[in-house]
Amino acid sequence: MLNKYLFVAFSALWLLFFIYAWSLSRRQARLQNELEELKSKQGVRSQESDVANQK
Amino acid sequence: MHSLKIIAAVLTKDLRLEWRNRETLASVCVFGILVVFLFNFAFEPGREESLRQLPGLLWVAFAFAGVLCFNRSFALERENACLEGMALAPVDPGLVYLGKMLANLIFLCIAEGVIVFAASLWYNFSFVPSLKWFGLITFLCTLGYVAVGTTFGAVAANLHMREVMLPVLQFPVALPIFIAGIEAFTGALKGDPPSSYMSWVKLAAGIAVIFVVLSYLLFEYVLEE
Amino acid sequence: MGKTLPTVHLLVTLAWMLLAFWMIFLYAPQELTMGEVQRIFYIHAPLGWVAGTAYTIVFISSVTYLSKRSPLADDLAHASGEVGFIFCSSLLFTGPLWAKPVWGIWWTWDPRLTLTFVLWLLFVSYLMLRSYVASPGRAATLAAVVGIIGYVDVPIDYMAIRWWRTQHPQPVIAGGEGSGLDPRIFLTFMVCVGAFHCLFSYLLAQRFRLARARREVSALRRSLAPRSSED
Repeated sequence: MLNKYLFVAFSALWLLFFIYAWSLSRRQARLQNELEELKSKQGVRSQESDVANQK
Repeated sequence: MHSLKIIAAVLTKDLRLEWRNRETLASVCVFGILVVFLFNFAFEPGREESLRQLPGLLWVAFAFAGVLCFNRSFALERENACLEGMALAPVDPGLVYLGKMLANLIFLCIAEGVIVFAASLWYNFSFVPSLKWFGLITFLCTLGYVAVGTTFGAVAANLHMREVMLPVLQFPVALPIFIAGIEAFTGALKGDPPSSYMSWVKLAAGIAVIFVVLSYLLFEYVLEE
Repeated sequence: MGKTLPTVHLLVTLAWMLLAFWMIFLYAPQELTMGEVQRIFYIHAPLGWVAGTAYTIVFISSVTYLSKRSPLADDLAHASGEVGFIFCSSLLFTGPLWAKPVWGIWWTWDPRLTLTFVLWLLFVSYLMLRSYVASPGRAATLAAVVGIIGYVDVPIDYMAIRWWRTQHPQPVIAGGEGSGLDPRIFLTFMVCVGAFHCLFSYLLAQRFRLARARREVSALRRSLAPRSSED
């Protein structure tokens, strides 16, 4: 009953969108990790400069 | 007028450079002739067949010759940091664009003349009967093509993949020019009355105007650092 | 906190899509000449509308970027270009899947398909340019120029291609989009247009967030880079 072209079209479409959305969230996660890392480095550096200023 | 002087300055610089070593003209002409030559093997020409294919063939040759021309036009500027010089010069960047565009127009028109000449010999046709229209169509379409090609040539000059990027950027945008050129050539070659392909000529003229104006306005962004 | 809006957006998108699906398969009537496979039309045509919307956003953001130099405009342009490319590619593969059973051929150079392919090339060239320019500032400016010229070109291409096709008419192909005047078909179609625009807006928002995050990371990296002399 289900036409094979119809089936392929719909499934391929959803596969493509799903893969793209997944790739977006992976890139976002990687950037978030890097952001956390950089922020903590920034935190450490400002602590060090505070300590240096106190001296 | 000050603006005309600047345009003339850029134009004569390119013409003088070209006159000294003739690299661009030579390579563009040879390349165009080679394309026409290869087509001979692609299609088995009987007289009627080849006349029908000729406009398309000519415009394919023009299209690729143009890519070569625009790439070289800015390759030279890049080599000697002239792009930065042009960006820093206290002149309207649009005028620089017009100067370079006119230089490219002259080079490409010369190359197209050579290509058409070679094609007319090899395919045994004569464009002389409708020379006036042929010339007008070629000029208008080439003007539109050069308008767009000069801008994209400057854009592509910023990339290390410029040889690939220039056709990729340019062909979708220049497509209507090629279509107009091919259709108008077909009419002119067949000896049809000019009214039958006048709409294509008008389209080509309209496109040329739009792209020259648009590029003139946008060129400062292409040149800036 | 910043998690609720995207989640709501996603849920709305999914719900709308489910509604659209229900309508496509259970509500819309079967088309007379083409049969079941005609239902591809309900995803194929809306994809085209979304591709057009995406490129329009690229154009408007590009103009905004050149006049205001707003990084937000640049990020939006890039995001819309990328998501639009996905939608345009989908348009290009759902089309032949519909064409083959209905027309018997995978492809033909009729005005609409030719223009679709040109649009796809415009997206491709836009994205390629973005990835091949080294400095982000230059990439933004050059991409904006290319986006503007490309967008102005679309109506010109459309005119030229249509005139060209009238010079070289093709054998008449039976059937066509929206050939039914049945109100159910029209309603289903409009719901699908809305659903795909909703999906587009969700993916666009996500891609935009990604661009903003990337900018933040670059800025932080620059500020943390070892300085030559502090005092």
